[in-house]
Amino acid sequence: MALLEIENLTVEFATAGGAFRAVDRLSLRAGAGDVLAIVGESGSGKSVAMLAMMGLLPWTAKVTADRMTFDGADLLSLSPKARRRVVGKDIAMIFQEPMSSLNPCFTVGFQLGEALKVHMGLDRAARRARSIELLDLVGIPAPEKRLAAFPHQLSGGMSQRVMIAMAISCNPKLLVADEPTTALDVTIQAQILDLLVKLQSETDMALVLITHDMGVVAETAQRVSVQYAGQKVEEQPVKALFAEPHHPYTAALLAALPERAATRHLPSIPGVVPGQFDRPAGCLFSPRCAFATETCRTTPPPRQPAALGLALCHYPLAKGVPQGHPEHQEVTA
Amino acid sequence: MSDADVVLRARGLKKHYQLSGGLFGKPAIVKALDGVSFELSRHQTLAIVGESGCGKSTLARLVTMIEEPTGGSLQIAGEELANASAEIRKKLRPKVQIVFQNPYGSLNPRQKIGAALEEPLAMNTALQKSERRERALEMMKSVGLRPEHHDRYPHMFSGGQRQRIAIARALMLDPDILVLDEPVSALDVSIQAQVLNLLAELQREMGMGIVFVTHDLSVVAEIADEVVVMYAGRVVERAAVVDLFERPAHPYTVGLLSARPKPGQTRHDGSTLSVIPGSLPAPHERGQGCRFRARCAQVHARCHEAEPTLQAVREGHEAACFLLSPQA
Repeated sequence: MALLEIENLTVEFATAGGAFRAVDRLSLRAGAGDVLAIVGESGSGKSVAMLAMMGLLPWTAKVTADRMTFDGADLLSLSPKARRRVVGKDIAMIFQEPMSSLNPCFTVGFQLGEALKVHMGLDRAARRARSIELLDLVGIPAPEKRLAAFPHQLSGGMSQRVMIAMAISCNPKLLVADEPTTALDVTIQAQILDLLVKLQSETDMALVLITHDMGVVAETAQRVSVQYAGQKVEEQPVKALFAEPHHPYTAALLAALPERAATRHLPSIPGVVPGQFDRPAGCLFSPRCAFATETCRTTPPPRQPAALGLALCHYPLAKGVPQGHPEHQEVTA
Repeated sequence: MSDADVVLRARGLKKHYQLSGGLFGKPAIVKALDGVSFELSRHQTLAIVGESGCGKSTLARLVTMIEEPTGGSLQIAGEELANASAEIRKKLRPKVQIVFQNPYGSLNPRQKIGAALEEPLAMNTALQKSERRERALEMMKSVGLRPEHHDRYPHMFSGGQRQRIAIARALMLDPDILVLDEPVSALDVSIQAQVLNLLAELQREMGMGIVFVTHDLSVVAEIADEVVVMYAGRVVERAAVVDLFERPAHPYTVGLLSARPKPGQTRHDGSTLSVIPGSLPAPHERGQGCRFRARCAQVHARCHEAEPTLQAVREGHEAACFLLSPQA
């Protein structure tokens, strides 16, 4: 059994205009030592899915799933007290904005020590020693001095290192990193990605990386799950995904990257992600898809086999050609 | 490119900020911009690239006349700004327009889109109300907005649409220079491509020169003709875009190019990101010598003594590094 198993997770928010489905029947697995990337545009539900897993969503959210287990424990039926023992210890999270996720009123040392006190029950001297060790581990120079520093005295890269130190302080089995480098400069981003991958391989924890940056995905992940409007539309090992995307959305997303564009005119995806009130009846990507047919617009697409990247599509791409599409020829291998 | 086409020319441009040194201390000086030179012609796109704190946004503020330079010369449409009268400045302002990074913060939430677009015309031209409306509708069409959007409020639009509105507003007065301060960094990849394509199209039609301020090198390759790489308030390299990507000369540029994760190249192929250690020096910690010396892998004795100046690497390609002149 894998460390984290999620099957058909659905998250709905009660809004003034009715229920809004942010995550739609999402399934994920991550084992120890895995690096799984979840990729998608803003509003594709990638952060919400992970927050639901950790039980951090507000009461307006309705979370349902066929199965959601972490290390054998059922996350759905966990009591709040039991959940608090897991979250922050065995499951840790790093957030996007390092500047605003640290409390400006307390020193770095105090904030690092908090988790150590609650989860590990360390005494004062042991907490201090462990904090220094952690700061050293994440590459902060002169860690003894930094313990007394307040967050505003740190740069963005330094703050993110402190956040990482805090997340790994209790030796988590699963680390969720939500856009950990989006707010950082490119040279600092490279340093942080390097650090995350190094820590992951040394401790053999599972790493779930939420991002919208395909470059970051290529650099760090082993497996990639592509999300669109709350649904998983494709999942593949990283190399296979870049070599041959099977869902038209993944293909279009890769083609829109400036690095991969062959011409000066970028091939862009027309339109935007559907909102609460203009969700299509059939495939959610059909209004923006180059291959959409009447079937796509009216019937929700089936899940394809693993050989076709688990693509959620009527006509999954093989060698760039939509299979079974009325206007395109089949590729016979 | 003939000289008449040059719309923007900077020579040794400086912007120093004075910080209070406390009651008895000597006031400290932050050299946000320390001698920057470049030229921009019509139909041309100049990209200014660098990390946070390298002075690229200060540069954008000087070019748009939001702030005054403290030294050097800045010419807009052939007019020297240094001792220009208020009248000349007023005449020049409509010629330079800016689009900001965050489309959620740069539009007035209580102003309808139509009113936002017509405001520059009302301030700077003598057009009638109906003519202004007509111009606004025309501009909305060319940036890909529909006529019914005219009477809507900013909150009814997505990030990409808002950035289109901001671009439309900047182009209402047919400027010679359009300054874009990280225009796509707040947008998703699929939307980013739409906006970049739109900018290229508008430039072909209207012919303005574009100053594109960004930290994202992949976007630069797409849109720029010439690239200026800045580090700690100075230009460290200047080259045509293809030349810069194929033959970067300064160690910082080399580092920037290889620090960028590339889709399709994975860690499992054995490729690793080359990491530039450390971070940008604080303005008062620069000391003498090359500003990049603390992070440079190829640092040597000379780098600690003097600051390298820009020198030609080849035709149209300059860099500021001692490695390029291996003399005693």
